[in-house]
Amino acid sequence: MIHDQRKQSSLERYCVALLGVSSLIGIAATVWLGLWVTPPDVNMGQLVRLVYVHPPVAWVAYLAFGITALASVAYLWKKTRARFWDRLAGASAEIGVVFCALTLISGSIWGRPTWGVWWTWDARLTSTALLLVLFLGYLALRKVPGSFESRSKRSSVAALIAFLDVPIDHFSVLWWHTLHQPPTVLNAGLAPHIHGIMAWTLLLGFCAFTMGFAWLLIQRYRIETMREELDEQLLAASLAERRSEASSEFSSNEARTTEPSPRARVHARTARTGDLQESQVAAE
Amino acid sequence: MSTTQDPHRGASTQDATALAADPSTERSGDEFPGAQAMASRRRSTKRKLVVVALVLAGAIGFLFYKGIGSALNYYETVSQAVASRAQLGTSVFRLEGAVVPDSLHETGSALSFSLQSNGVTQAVIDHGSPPQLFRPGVHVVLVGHFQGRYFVSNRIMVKHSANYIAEHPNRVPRTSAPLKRHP
Repeated sequence: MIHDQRKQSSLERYCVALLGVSSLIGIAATVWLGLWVTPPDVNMGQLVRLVYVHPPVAWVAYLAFGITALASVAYLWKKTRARFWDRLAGASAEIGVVFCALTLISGSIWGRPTWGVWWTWDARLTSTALLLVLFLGYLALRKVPGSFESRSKRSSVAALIAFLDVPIDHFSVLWWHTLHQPPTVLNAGLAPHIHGIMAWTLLLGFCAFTMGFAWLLIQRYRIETMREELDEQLLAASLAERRSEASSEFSSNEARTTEPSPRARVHARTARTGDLQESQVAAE
Repeated sequence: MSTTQDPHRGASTQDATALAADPSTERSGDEFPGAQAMASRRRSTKRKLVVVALVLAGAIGFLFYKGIGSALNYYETVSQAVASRAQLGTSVFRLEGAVVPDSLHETGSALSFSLQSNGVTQAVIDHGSPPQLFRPGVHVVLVGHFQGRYFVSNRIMVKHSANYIAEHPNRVPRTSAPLKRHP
């Protein structure tokens, strides 16, 4: 049985390592294709090359927040409530926040030469910034001390509220006037407006970054599990220490109470002599 | 029930129970150190929650104030702006349209051109520096105001499309083999 478990865990480790290596190779291939193989765009020229990074990074942010929302639903639902969902939600949100920040940074770098500005308050950019702030708030809420259950319930509700911004963010370019262009791949007709090898490179970018996200999520989940175990061990150790301290205090107090104090001894002696005197007077 | 005046000295069991049940009675920290620590921890948790909520509310409020207000109506198209010119007056707003080909002229530090949308054209004078992708036919968003018959702008932003097309899709790829010379 133990042998099977070890075999399984080593197989798992092998799969996770393979996932990590595949994602690295995928990202490297995306960079190579994006920078050297794909042709320049008819309108943007060489500036098009950020298209192989910016949309995949944004997709991973959406995916991460989506997993956080689903895991939060699973935690809030009594039938499926388990620590696993809470850990998964937290781990996914952390990665999502990093990718959301990367989306804003890469978008800003791309926006300066193409639009002519680093930043503008259009609906897409504003809702993305709001998404980042909302999930930063979610992460802050997770750090507020409290019992595990109340903290997890509170943060699960917060995750669902924050996730409401994801569809707003995605559809903002269709609902309102924005400087940001409408979606290239996930458009109304689901017909990507991108040419041959450029489309394949973009697809590779999506796959590579998604695999990278999956690898990061597994690692982050593991770290969170180890941290919780360590916390529990530390708590048990400090409780044991406190208990031993308390028992030693108790035994020393007991020893002190069984042994009469010098004042009590004096009182007892005087009482005894008083009794003797009284008995002598009675005899007389 | 209490017969003694000092509850801490010589109090009966009934006195002690009454004392414990009385919420108004203050207990020193030496008596219940655990309970006091727990209460202070609860207070600090509440304080932290309030701080997180305030920071979040502030950030969201700022984003709404700064962004959502103008973001939902980020620009007016040329046809919309011309139709509501009287209401817009000389206020600063964003104007969107396509740069009319062959309308670009450079006069000193200013750039003049025409902007078009839905068949309506507006003359523009720009004093800013156009971005790299600015060219005739491209869609732009300008920041400025009406002045006489012109729209005077100080910023041009290029609104590029979501279509990505290879520059020379039919070009024969370069080979590393040297070209053969025919005698």
